[in-house]
Amino acid sequence: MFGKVDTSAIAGIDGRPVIAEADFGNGLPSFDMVGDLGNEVKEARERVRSALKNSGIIVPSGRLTVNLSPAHLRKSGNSFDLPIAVAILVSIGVVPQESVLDDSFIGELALDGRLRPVNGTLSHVLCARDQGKKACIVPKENVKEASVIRNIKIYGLSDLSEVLTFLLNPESFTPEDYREIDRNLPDNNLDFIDVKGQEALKRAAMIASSGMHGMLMVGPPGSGKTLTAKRIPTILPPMTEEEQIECSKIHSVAGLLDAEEGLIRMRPFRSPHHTVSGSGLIGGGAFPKPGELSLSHNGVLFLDELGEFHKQTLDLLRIPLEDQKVTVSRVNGSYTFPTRVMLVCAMNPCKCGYFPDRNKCHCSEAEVRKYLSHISKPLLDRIDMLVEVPRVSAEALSGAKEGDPSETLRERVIRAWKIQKERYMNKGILFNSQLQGGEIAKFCFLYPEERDLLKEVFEKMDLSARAHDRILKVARTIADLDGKEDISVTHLSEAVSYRSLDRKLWGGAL
Amino acid sequence: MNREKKWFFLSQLIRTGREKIETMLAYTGGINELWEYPADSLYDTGAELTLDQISEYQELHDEEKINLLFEKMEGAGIRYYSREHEQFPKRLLEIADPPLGIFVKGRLPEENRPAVAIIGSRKCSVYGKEMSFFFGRELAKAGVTIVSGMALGVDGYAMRGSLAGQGGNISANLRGRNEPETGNQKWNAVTTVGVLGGGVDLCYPRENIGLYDELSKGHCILSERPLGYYPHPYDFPIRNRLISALSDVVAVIEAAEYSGTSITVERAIEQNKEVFALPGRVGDRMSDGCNFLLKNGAQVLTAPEDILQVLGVKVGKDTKNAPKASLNPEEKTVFELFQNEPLSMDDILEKSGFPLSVLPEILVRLEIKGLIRKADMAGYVKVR
Repeated sequence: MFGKVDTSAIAGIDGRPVIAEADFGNGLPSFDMVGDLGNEVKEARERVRSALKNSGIIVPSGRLTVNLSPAHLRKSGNSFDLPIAVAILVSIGVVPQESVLDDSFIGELALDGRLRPVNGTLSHVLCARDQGKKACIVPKENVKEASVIRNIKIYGLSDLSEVLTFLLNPESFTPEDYREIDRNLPDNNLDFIDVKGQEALKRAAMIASSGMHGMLMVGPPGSGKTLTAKRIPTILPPMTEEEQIECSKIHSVAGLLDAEEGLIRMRPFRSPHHTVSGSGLIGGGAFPKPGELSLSHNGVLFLDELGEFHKQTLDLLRIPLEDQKVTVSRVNGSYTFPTRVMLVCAMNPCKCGYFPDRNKCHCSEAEVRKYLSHISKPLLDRIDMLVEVPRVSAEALSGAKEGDPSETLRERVIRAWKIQKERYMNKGILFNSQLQGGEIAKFCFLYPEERDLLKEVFEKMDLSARAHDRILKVARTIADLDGKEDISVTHLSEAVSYRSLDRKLWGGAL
Repeated sequence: MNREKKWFFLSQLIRTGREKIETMLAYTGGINELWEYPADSLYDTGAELTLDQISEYQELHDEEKINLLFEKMEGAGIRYYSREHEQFPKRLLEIADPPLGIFVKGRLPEENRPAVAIIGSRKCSVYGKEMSFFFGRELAKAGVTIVSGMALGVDGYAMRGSLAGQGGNISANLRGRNEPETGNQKWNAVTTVGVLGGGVDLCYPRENIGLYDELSKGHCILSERPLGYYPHPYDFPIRNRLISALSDVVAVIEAAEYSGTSITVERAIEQNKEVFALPGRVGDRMSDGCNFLLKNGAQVLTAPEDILQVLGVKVGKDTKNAPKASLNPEEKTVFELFQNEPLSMDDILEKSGFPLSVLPEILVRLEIKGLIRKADMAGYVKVR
């Protein structure tokens, strides 16, 4: 007898439909599995056999063949155990074929028949819905994650015998309630109020967040670079429903989703260690998994100690940052991961970290320059704002006034986002930082007074031509924060101050 | 072969120290005699040459080879002056251990022009850097030749300052010194002298290649080492005696307590040169050397005039107090906050009380007016 059951496989971050077929017939007792299977899928044979036996289901002795189709799609992951078991149940006649036609199954089986959670539930459920399935059966632990998808019934079951009961008598089960997506920011204990002093840095962080500009902080250790970076997600506007699902999909595939929470509600903040490999950063592996860059999609990618990262690793970021997606090509297909991130970097001014404080820093100027030149120029060109972070003395810290809380800053950022959204309606972009070429001249128009100032600044301060566009984009954001239609001298001057580092450190004569 | 080339030959001997060559010269009785002296009996000169040094001598003791090297040098636009040459700087003859000869790229500095050596640490602070540049520029403006070692840090910045300061009416500021008459043609003086520890055809340190190029055009790079010689650490103290010898006054900007700078200062004292030191804050590592010198009798350096007075150079009015650009009240408030120390945006914010949104505008305006500028990683500093 023959049985087939629908399920899905993960390719990149999306699910692709897969059919699990089982055929049972006479012959020498055997259990074979085919269909371009990864190792963990091949091992399903042992798990399924034991799980069936321990759930009280006797598989008659005979020739059993399982096929996962389409045969050309490489299957990996642990989600095929349940569909294979159900297909076998159909093939040996325990469950009628009709009762599984409208369902999709995912789940890993324990030897005793219990269902274990799987990665990528969101992608599986979305795939099942798009195939027109009416219900999706998932392990109980994954039910929170799955139930945010509309237009499909979700059943969270705990073991194989419960699945059997469900299949024989579906009416006795009620599907999980659809869970409304909570757009409010979850509580978290990070707040900008904790950053004492450093007014200039805090303002820079707000401007960068408003236009999703890349930002590089350069300053000695203990000056509050990391402290500030960690708080940037708290001033970014809450994620929309689509953004939450998109982020959660990526995290789910990578196995990083918190089962209790179900969805990622806070904009992600990822801070990979500087020893991260290229594929760890942008995604990769034999079965491509999202890297840190994609995990921070819609959020913040924070590269601390930028000077310590491998040059080759950093250079990999260049194209994904521009395209806002990364494509990983492998023998069995290419996979695309979204990478719309706000890049925030921090680094010390030199190896010991204290330059130019000569009482502490013993680095020669050549060493300082070498340390800074480690960062490739093309990457720097994708960073709009360079912020100098001075050291804060203990007395300044104790005397510093309390700054604005994240909430106040967030409101201002939300306003700036809204202005940009309206301005770039139907233009295919969302933020000032995404402006390119002719759009810059159009949206960052300068009146003669401002144009003269910029000209004078360029002559006097010896800025590179590349700095020009960056200054205009940042000036546009500052004007938006200010709620002004036109870029004024004040806005422009401030934008200039966020480029003043590169002429000194990267390309200055001294 | 003329005497110059024979001296040139001696200058090529890099393995043999100058003292041993002096011994040989004294034994044989002169440069011609030494050249004629059989190269296989150098032991008898009492110079205690090693085998290595003898083989180097014998190898180079070849008229053809020396001619070839000499032509090659001239082809590169570099000149050699032996200590007998009439243009050889008189100041170098005044010291106890004058070099056998010097290699010059560019032009020789004028003999009768006052000269100041500005020296200090390679790892100077922002303050040291600003001060080096300031003194270099102001002294050059007043018509003084700046001598330094072209090293990173103080040396390099002082020389850059000197290059920035040249071009003023130099001869008018000199008292009792005979400047060459040039008629209507604008007389372009050598204001900057770089003394290298290696050959003048090598830019060491290579970070200063821009400075090196600038100096080779119309200024002076000199060394007693032959071309192609890459300097070793022990070459610099030897070189330092030339820096102090070529100048009338040695000014120390910033130095740690025990450093190469102290060697130069010792040599300067031996050579009877005036030593100035820029006072620094007690406890500042980079000023320990200066404060030590001051404690031991160096003159206090607080303004270029201190040095000019000792040199007997009249201070022209135009070198002081450039006309102040007109400032609006806000700009004035901010500008007046600047003292010696660099100020970060947060410092200025706190001290001026202006909101963060308008401060950059004021700073950019002050910067455009040339009153302040960005310091490396340390906020803004006042331009001197």
